[in-house]
Amino acid sequence: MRRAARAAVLAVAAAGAAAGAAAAAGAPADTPGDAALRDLGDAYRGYLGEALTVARSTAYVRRAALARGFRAASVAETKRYAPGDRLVFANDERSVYVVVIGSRPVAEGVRLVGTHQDTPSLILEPFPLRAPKDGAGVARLLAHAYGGVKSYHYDRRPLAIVGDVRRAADGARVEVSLGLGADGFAFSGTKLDTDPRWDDAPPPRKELYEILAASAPMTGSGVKSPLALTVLRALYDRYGLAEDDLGAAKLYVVPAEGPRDVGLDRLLVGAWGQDDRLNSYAAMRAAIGIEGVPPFTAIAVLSDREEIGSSGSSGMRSEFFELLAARLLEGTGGPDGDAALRTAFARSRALSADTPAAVDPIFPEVHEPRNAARLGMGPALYKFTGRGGKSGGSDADVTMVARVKRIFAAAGIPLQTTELGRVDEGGGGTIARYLAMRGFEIVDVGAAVVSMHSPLELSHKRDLWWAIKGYRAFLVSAE
Amino acid sequence: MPAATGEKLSEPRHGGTCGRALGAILALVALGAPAAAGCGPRRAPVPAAGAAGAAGAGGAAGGGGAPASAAAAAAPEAKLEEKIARKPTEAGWAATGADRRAAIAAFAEDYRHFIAGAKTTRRAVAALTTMVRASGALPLPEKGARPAPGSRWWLAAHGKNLALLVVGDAPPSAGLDVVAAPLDAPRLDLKAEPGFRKEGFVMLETHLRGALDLKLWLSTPLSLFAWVDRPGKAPLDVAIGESPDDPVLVVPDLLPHLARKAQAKVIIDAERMDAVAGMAADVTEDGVKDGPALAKLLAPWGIAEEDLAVGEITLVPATAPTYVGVDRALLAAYGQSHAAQAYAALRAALETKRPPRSVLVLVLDGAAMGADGDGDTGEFFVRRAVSAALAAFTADGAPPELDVRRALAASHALCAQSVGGAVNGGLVLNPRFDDADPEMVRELLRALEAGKVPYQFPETGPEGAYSSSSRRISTTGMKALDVGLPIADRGAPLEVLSVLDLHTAYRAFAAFFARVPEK
Repeated sequence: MRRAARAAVLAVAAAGAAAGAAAAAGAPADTPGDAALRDLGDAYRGYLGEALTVARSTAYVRRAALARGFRAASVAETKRYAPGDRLVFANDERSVYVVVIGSRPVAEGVRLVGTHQDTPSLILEPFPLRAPKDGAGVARLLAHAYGGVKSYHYDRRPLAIVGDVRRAADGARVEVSLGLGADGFAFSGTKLDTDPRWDDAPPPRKELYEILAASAPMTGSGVKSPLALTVLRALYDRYGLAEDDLGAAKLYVVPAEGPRDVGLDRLLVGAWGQDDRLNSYAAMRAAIGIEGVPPFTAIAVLSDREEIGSSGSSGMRSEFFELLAARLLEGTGGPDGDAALRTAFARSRALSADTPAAVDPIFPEVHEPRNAARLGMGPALYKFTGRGGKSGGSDADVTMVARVKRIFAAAGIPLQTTELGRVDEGGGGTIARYLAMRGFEIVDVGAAVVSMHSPLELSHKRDLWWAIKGYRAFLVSAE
Repeated sequence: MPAATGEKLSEPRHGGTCGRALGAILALVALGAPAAAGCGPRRAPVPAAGAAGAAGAGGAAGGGGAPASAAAAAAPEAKLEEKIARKPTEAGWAATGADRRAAIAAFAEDYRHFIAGAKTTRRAVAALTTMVRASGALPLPEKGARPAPGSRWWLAAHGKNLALLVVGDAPPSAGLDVVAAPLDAPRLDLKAEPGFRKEGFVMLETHLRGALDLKLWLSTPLSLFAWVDRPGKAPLDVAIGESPDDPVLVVPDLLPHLARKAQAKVIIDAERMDAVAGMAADVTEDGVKDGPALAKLLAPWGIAEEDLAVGEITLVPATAPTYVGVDRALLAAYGQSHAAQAYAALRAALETKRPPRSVLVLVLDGAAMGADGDGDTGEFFVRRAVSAALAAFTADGAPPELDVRRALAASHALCAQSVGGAVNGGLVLNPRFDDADPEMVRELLRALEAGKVPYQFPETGPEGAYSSSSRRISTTGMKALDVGLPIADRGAPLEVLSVLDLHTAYRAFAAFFARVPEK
């Protein structure tokens, strides 16, 4: 979930959200056993440990789908699709779409679960290296925040640098991974807390971060900047990269410690990147696990750039989605033309499966307890997003809310109700509004986390279990 | 004299260092010019207008590069400067050859394995004791031992204090060369009645031990160490979270979306530092139920709820030590601002073959709270170890009181604790911590210069959180001086140390032990 930008607040009275959030689970028909939860948790931690970037998440999803009999499809192809066809599309490597063609043509609408596989972290500056010329001291890499992070979460914590570079000489895509387990070293944020700007309040989002990268200068007479050379040589030796190559790169600075089970009962997963890879993983598992032919075409969307506003060619605002939809419309024999596409959108229904905040046990006061999600009580439905008077958010139609509740109840999946904290405490947004703008009937439903946007976000394995089952029930719903 | 040529890990870089400028200013002061230059970034000292004679003649004392007018070589002022101004000597990696780089890497790797298993005082002392015993050192007897030069003896107390004695050409009664290194890193101890349920979680109440930088402990994986004495049985000694397959505990943090008001003034209040131990509510076919209480969560790990009130139960960072930087020249680890010096001093003492004076390394519990916490900490164990070192070599185990006091008065102690300084700048000397005696400082400087060991004086004095261990130890009558490694991260879950500085400390202690004192 994206942290809301400061927006002008309209004083609109909040519509009555469904109450009775926490313990409304009743008697869920589908409660996983210990062994099933352990296996699911292991698989999910495996995904989180691998999917450290959007590109790596896309690769994981494609691989998982192909292993389940899906076909790598392209928006450039002209094939006809038959009901039951299983397709996986990717927009370059930054967003990925898992599709099962339904018995009804796409012109009659689709069932979609939309998530985002990007997550807050730091990202290196285009030319990040700063090293004292005399070789004394420490070489640093400069980075800035991607999405809403707190500076102290990157202060003296093992960090890795992952991402990809387009090499200047040959344009080759070079996948970079430095500082993860087998390397035997990591990077670290430096001490920031002597700076008064960071002391008392969460910092502004766009500050520069300094990442410790090397402190033993290369030897050799005539070397002009021996400490800088230490860092550059590591990139050159392993990847054949020169400093100039770094200008065309997406190099993320991410926590290097892998996912862990949290709690003596091992019910929680603690890891960086679960907003929104928790629901991305659930949507992926939901879609690739669909059996037979769903009534409507089912789509799991793992989009990009949600944390910075869903912008760019891979964000949910990108018209790549129109291109994909037009291809599916054409492939299922739908009528051509803009009107047909818009009509198909208007007949479509979607869940925006982004990560809501569950009640933090040491800061419960930022939530309104009767309308707040708890970990382990099932995915949470939040009818509206935004801040203040729902500004900047999406506010679902009650018909859609009731429909989703029916589908989850029929499948025996508990569904909580939540909102984004107490009124006026803050807020956030999701991709829901960008699908709503296209005419989708949409509501936000997501498995929740505690410590959102931190290096150790907490999710509950049971919520993940139910999210997979619930999203699949929605994707195959005939309603 | 080495200047502080490096930089602090902790602060943004600011051009030149005060240390460099200081030498120049001192030179100017010596020549009668006012110290007008200050410590501003990249600012060469400028003689004040009207400065008397010699200083006005060329500003040749410029620390950042001589002005063109100083090119007139061999001016008398330049000769004077050459004679009396502080000269930077080589420190850092530039002064480190390939052989030594290999030795540093090997030393760091040994140390990394040690520090990984030294997350509590008990575990650190156990690991150090194992190292000492493996070297062939014998338990110090109460009496009747022969003080053969080069013989090694050890003494432990309460599982939290350790002394290593290496007998020199001069016996212990002639005074000892002491390195006193405190252990006891900041951590979260559990309260006696820690368990409670809140918002669906089973939580553990904690209490700070030491000065923690609290916000850095949020959203970081924590291991639970439990040590419980069990009469008639072996003590319970459990660590949960140290194996990668273990679960960890965590103090959660508030999401930034909702933090603007709640964390506007204080990010985290100490009383809120409660850790998630598990889930309190369970969903079954019969609906939502209260799940297992703390006792049930602990039982599979062999811990009973009543153990919590009587055991040492503590939460420390689960993160394993890791090198930092592509050159593996820094090391990030929990607890090393204390343990690094204990390790370096013991290694130096164990590798000392036959020191001129007898050597005593003391690993002491309790520093994180000012050495006032336990019955057997701080100077108490210092006195006891010196007394035992004398008693062991008497026939009746009862050395005269005056002999012990004379030995104490003839001893020199380096009190090792990290308090910042320039990374790769050499051993940090803090004579202002407790206003050390200049003869003690000079004695150490002679030893360091003889061993070509770089050293530095910190640019800032002690800050509030630090307490001087020399202040305590010098009350025994020893001459004491605070020294340490440049680590500025005290209170953080991970502290960053240069492997060069670690090795420098080891060489410094070795040089201290090897020196032949002036008569």
